[in-house]
Amino acid sequence: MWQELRTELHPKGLEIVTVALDTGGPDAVRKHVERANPEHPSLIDSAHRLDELLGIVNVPSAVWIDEDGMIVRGPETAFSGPSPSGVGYQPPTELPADAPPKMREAFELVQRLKVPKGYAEAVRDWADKSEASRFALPPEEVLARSRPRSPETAEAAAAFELGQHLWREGYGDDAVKWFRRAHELQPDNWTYKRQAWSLVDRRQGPTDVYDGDWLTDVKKIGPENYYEPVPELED
Amino acid sequence: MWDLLQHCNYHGVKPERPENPQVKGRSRRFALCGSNRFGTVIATAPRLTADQLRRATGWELKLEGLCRDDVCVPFPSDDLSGVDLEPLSQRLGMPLLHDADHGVWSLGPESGGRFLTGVRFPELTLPDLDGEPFSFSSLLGRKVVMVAWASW
Repeated sequence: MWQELRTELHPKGLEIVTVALDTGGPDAVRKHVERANPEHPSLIDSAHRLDELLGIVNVPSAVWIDEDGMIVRGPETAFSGPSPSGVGYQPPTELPADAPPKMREAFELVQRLKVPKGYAEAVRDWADKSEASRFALPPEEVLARSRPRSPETAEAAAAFELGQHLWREGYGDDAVKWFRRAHELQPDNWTYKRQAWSLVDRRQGPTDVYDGDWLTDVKKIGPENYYEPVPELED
Repeated sequence: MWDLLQHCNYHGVKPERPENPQVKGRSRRFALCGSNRFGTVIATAPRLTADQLRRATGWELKLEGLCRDDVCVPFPSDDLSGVDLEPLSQRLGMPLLHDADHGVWSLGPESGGRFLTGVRFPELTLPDLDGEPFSFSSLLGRKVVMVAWASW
């Protein structure tokens, strides 16, 4: 968990900040945060501003910021431990014997997700060596790795924002049209997809308002491609 | 009359130019703030006042055109009080969507280039669980790993 890494590295001048990208706001995240009980700042981005400013398309993703406020690693897949667990989510380690086929399928798919290994070690290396760490990237490299903002991607942001606006105003049904538009324009943005799906069905299963769902869409790209690889880390 | 519901200050994102703390030599060239200071604008009219435009996008309406930081782009207009969204959208490559049923416009971020136009982390203030605002700038002097996660 991030809290363990924080306890270890805070004396060396490193802070962890977790940010929940949740349209649902505090109510959606409270129980997860209370369970993790972090000593580090734990914030809520209910407007999905970070996705839009930094180009985050899946979670968990992390960004490294140096002492001067400069990004030395842009958004990328970040797991504090070896297993595919986010801050709140712990996948089941065992499947009940009487599990229905859908649950069995989802369980097996989760086992096949590929997670970059050694992220915590990379953070430790940076905490020790600062800019001499091979993981601290020069500005040119940070910018070169940053996701392109195509006209479609920019329009997806406008559509997602319109969807969020209507949802917050109480027009959930009308928001769907704009969320769908965002999904069509930027199909590799899992944040847009999963946030919108979860507002209709917490489990992100098939619904009659969205074409996709988590299981179907992950199967389509292959579970090994769900989390983007990190260049310096092994899968 | 025209009401800007939302700009980058919405939900605590501060559009002001960040303080300029001492930066290392290797970073200085890249420390410029770019368009990644600003996000999508939701408006309830097809027009922004000059003040709304500046706060929401950083662009200033001047006689010579639209200006931000050291850049000006020609924008023919003899009215400096405000700007219509449609020509603005086309001039700056910002997508414009309109929901006619709800009378709402959404002006997206500038396209082209990359998400990060500079390596300075945007000046952001976000609330914690109790609604207390937290500014990332308060962590200057420390290394920070910012982890985005979600409950979904």
